[in-house]
Order: sequence, then C-alpha cells, then structure tokens
Amino acid sequence: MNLSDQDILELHELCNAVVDGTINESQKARLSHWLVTSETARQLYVRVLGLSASLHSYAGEMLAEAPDVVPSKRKILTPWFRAGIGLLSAAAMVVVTLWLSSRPKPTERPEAKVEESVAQLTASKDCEWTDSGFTRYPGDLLRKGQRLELAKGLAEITFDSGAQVILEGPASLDLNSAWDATLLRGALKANVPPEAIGFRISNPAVEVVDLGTVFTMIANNDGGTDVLVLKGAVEAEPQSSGDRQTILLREKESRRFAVSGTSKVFDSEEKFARYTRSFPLDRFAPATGYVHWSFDTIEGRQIGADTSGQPVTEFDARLEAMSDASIAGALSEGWRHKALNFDGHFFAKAPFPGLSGNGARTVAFWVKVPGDAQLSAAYAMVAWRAASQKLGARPVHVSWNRNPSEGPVGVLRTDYGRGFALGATPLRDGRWHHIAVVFVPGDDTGTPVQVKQYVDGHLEGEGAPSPPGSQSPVAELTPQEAASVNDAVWLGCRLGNKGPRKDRFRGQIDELFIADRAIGPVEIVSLMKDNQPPPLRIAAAKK
Amino acid sequence: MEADPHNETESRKRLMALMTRHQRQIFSYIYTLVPNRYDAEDLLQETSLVICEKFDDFKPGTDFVAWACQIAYWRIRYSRQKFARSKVVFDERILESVAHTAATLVDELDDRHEALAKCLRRLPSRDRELVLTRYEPGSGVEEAARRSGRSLEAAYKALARLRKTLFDCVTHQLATGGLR
Repeated sequence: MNLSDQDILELHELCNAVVDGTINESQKARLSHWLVTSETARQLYVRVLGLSASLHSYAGEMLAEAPDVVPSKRKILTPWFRAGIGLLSAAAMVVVTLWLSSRPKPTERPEAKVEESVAQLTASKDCEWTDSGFTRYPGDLLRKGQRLELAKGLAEITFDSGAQVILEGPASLDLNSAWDATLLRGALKANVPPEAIGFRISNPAVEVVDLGTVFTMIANNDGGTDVLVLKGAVEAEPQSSGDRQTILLREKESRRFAVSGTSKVFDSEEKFARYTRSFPLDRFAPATGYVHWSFDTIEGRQIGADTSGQPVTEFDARLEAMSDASIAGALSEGWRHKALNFDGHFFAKAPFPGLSGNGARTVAFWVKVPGDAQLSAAYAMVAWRAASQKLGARPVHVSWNRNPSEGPVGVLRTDYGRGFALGATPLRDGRWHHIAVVFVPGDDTGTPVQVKQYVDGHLEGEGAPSPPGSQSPVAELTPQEAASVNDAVWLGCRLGNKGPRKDRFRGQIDELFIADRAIGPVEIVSLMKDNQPPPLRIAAAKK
Repeated sequence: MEADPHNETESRKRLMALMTRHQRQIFSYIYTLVPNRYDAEDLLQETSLVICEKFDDFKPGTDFVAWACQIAYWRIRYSRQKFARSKVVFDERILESVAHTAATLVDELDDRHEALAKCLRRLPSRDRELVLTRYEPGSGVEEAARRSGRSLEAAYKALARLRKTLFDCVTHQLATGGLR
C-alpha cells in the first residue's frame, strides 16, 4: 500500500505525538489502525522513531562534548555500562568512551535577524525542491526575497494579499512581497481573488498586473513568456525596449512576449486545455481553536461566548462602567443579528487565559464607526495587555488612527510592543467593515512579532515590526493587579498598565472571533463571508 | 568440570566487542517499541544482562543483532506493564507487527543513523541547537523551549518541522548516496 503525501504528513504528526509524549487516545487509535493495516506505515513509523533514537544518541554525545552547558538532571549512563559494571569493568570503560567521546564546542547564538513572511506554502503534490536541499511542506511560511526552486511537482503558494499561485516544476520564482513575484523559469497558474487585485508577476519579458482573474504564465527556455488568461482580465506590459505599451488581455486570450516583441502563442489551444483543468493537490491545515462572541444576547451584564456553537461560559464578557438601567441599550441591530453598541462610556471585559502571552493569534470582527466619531473615541475596539519578552508589558490595541503625523486619521491601527500597523481604508464612514488582525510571533526570540491587518478581506499595510526580541522590561505588578488586567480581552476601552484608562471607543462591534493561530488570507475572506472560522481539514483538494 | 578461564576471557572479550559495536542498534530497536528514552534505556540494561547470561548460547558467525533483538523483544513483552507511563503501549498484535518490521530495518536504521550526522551538520546552528537540546539526557521540549526563547507551542512546532526536515534529508541522502 502506497502512502499519499497527506498520509505521510499524518503519520509524522502521530509519530511526533508519540515521541513527545503528547499522544491522545484518538491519535493512538489512529496510529494503531495504521500500524495494523499497513506495512508501509509500519516502516515509516520505525524509521521516524529510529530518527529520534539516533537523536537521543547524538545529543548524549554532544552533551558529553560540552561540559559547560546546563547540567542535565539525569546524566547519560550507558545501560551496557550499568549492566556490566561488576562484570566487565574494562569493557565498560570502552563503551563509555564510545558514548562520551570528544571535547566541547561552545554553543553559538546567531544574531537576530528580521525575516518577514509574505506568503505560505498551502498545498503541494510530489514536490522536489532544489534550493534548500530539504522538502517544504504545506504550512511553511515563505519569506520576502526568497527564491523558490521547484525541481518537480506542484506547489500552491498563497501570498498574504490572498493571491494564490500554483507553481509547476521545474520552475523558479522570487517572492518579492505579498503583492509581487518574479517568474524566472517554468510555469505557474495564478488565481487572484477580488481582494488581491493589483497582484503582479513579472520577468524580463513581461509584467502582468492582475485585474481579478485566473491566468497562466509560462517562462520558456528561449526567453519568451506566454501569458494566457483563463478567466477575467490582466494588464500585460512588455519589457522589451521596443514597445512597452500595456496590452489588456481578456478571458481566453493569450500572447507571447519576448525581447523581439509580442506574438501569438502557437500552441495556445493545448495550453488552455492543460491549465484549465484542476490540479490535484494535498493540503494540510491545522485545527483552529477559537472563541466567538456573537453579541446577540445579554443576561444581566454577561454576554455569552461560544466555540463551534457550544457555549464556553468561562469566556463570557461582562459589561462594565454602566448603570443597570442602561444595559438594555448595550445591544443594537448589528451586522448579523445584534451587535455591541459602545456609546463612549461603557466597556466590556472577558477572561481569556493565555492572551497576554506570545502565541500566534487572529482577531477578527465587524465594526461600524460613526462618521462623526471624535478623536477621543478611537481607542480601542479590542485590547489586551501583553506580558511577554517580545512585546513587553504594553497593551495591544486594535483601534483607528487618531495621530495625523503617523498616518491618515481614521484608518485601522494596531499598536503592539513598540510598533504599530496602519491600514488604508477610512473606517469612520458609518458602514460595516470586516477587520482581521493576524499576529505572527515567529519561532524564537530573535524574530519580531509580525502583524498583518485585513480590512474587508484586503491586506492593508503590514506593521512596523516590534523590535526583535524586545527587551522592554515587564512591569512589576502585584499578583492581584496582574490577575485583574492580564489574560483578558478588553472591548471598547483603552488599556493602561493596570487596567482601563478613561478613553472609550464609540461605535458597534459584532461577531468577534479570537483564534489561536495565524489565519491565512483565503480563510479570512471565508470567515468574513460565512461567519465561520476555518475547520480542521486533512483532505486532498483540487485547484 | 570447571570452565576454562582462558575461554571465558575470550568469550567476554567477544561479547564486549559485539555489544560495543551494536548496542545503539539494539537501543533503536527497543525505542521503536517502547518510545520513552528512560524506559528504553532500562530495557537495554535488562537486555544486556540477559545477553551476558545467555551469551554461551550465541553461535558465532550468526547475526548478533537479530539474536539480541529477539532477547529485547521478550524483555519488552515481559515488562510491558511497567511501561504504562510511556503512553504508547501497543497491544500484542501491534507490538509483534512493529517488532517484525523493526527487525527487518535494523541495518537500514544504522545507515540512517550515519546519514543523520551529516544532515544535522547541514541544519542552521540555532535549529541544530534546538533539536539537540530537546534530546539531551534530562532535557525535553520544555527545556529546549526555555533555552531557545521560544514558547512551548512554538518549540513543539519547530521540532516537528525539524524532525521532518531531517527525516527527508536522511532519506534523500540514502537515495542519492550521500550529500554533496
């Protein structure tokens, strides 16, 4: 029995759970099923577990090489040494020598460097990469300026702008930004949703600017590039020195671009047939944990929270700073059913364990800001207090910008650490807008927190990153103070170090989701349209 | 009749040489069946004692690792209840199937072990440091997360990614005959 790419990924995930001791009953049942039914799966399991056995061995040797590293609680003691200690002491010495062989090399910590992700590998099929020597897998973040060299197979790259490109190996693609890529060789099929209109792909022969479409671009070995529009329209600008007049190509139209000029694509029919079909791709998306407040009902001062339709009362929000008599006016007609209607006086607070930490998360909601909202009513739609090394002991605020020296007044603004991100769409227009703010903390202390803002599904301005490994000291709070302000989401108020300040937000907020991972642009649009977060998916899909 | 002291010394030397050469392979075999480092080490110790006791039964020229793995397998079956804390205690049917597969892959795992050294060298230093910290004796994911400044969740994710990276690198290396 052959294993598909997704089977292999699942088995690796199960093996990781085994090795790390985090396996749960359902995973154990799933793994048992694999091990009973498939010799190929058993072989994979043995090889993966063998890798960890080898790593234990190498790490033991490395520790012996480095006596100045942190002492372990349990020094490696070769079992054979222990077994034979009274029997074969000379032999044991040889074995100890084998395991604990050479001298230390001091560990080095490389300088922190900023690596901004602009895209993600979201699906693949039979890929072989030649640029890294290692295989990439769906879920891997791709960096600005990165060159992808695909020897064979299909790889779907989802840019943060929402544009999706299926690269067909052999091919070479430079990732210039969330909105811009360069096809050096090979073929790609680009699917650009309305939110990513303006996405462009260039090479020495042509620059293609998408107008909301599906198109194919093939960089031939002779230096020419074919552009075929499968759906919608593109603007193609020849890069040859002779004629740089932009050509509008519509659905079913194609053109070849070369240094010598433009011409017909002689085998366009065959190419249209090839790239119109669906490509089978294996995708893997992690489960999304989330909490949702619909703001549809209120009981006393409590507003219920749910996840997957089930109440999670421990996350219920409580209205504060308002009289009992005015509670009834806290909800009003919203984007969907009811919404929380902030009048510039009250705020709400919901417990949210772990929110002050440094995890990846996505905050998404609908907001309606009155056209006459005053600058004093900007802070904040959503806020929490960070208490982590990267963001220091500073509040995170999602609000609208009220500082004209830093950007247009009224656009979405997220303050985090010492950085902030600004959007482009004016929010003070009395209309509903969908907001999603994605926090990508990076794998380690050297990587700054990256914030990506989406307004109505459109990527708007990435943040000025927080300082790498920000050393802002965590302010000393008493345990009571920390408990009262940390690990809670605050709605409709500005946060200080110890709790809400006097500033209050004015406007409506509806359908708030806080998810435990960085949700991708396509999923954000889906959340905006369907009011449902992405489900757990482990499935093959066609594109 | 008393044992010939010269023969006994020679036998011990041979045993020492075989164990020195193959104990890591036996450990790997045990670890695939009892995937907890310390349980696997204890089992290796117990297996080693049995090997010492039964070494007279071993026929020179036959496959020492296969013989030792058979002993280890029966030690694991005998001791299964002891290792309930390892979370993965397969039922006998699965244990037997995995043991059979593991026995057929002993040589390959040895090749993979050698290839892994090269793949580890190819990792960026901070990734290599994370992996080796995770697997240090007395350490674990939490310690690796703490020392690398990652959250626990990020450390789990990074380790999963790195294990896969190393696995693919090793497979690639075996398929192509080595890294260039």
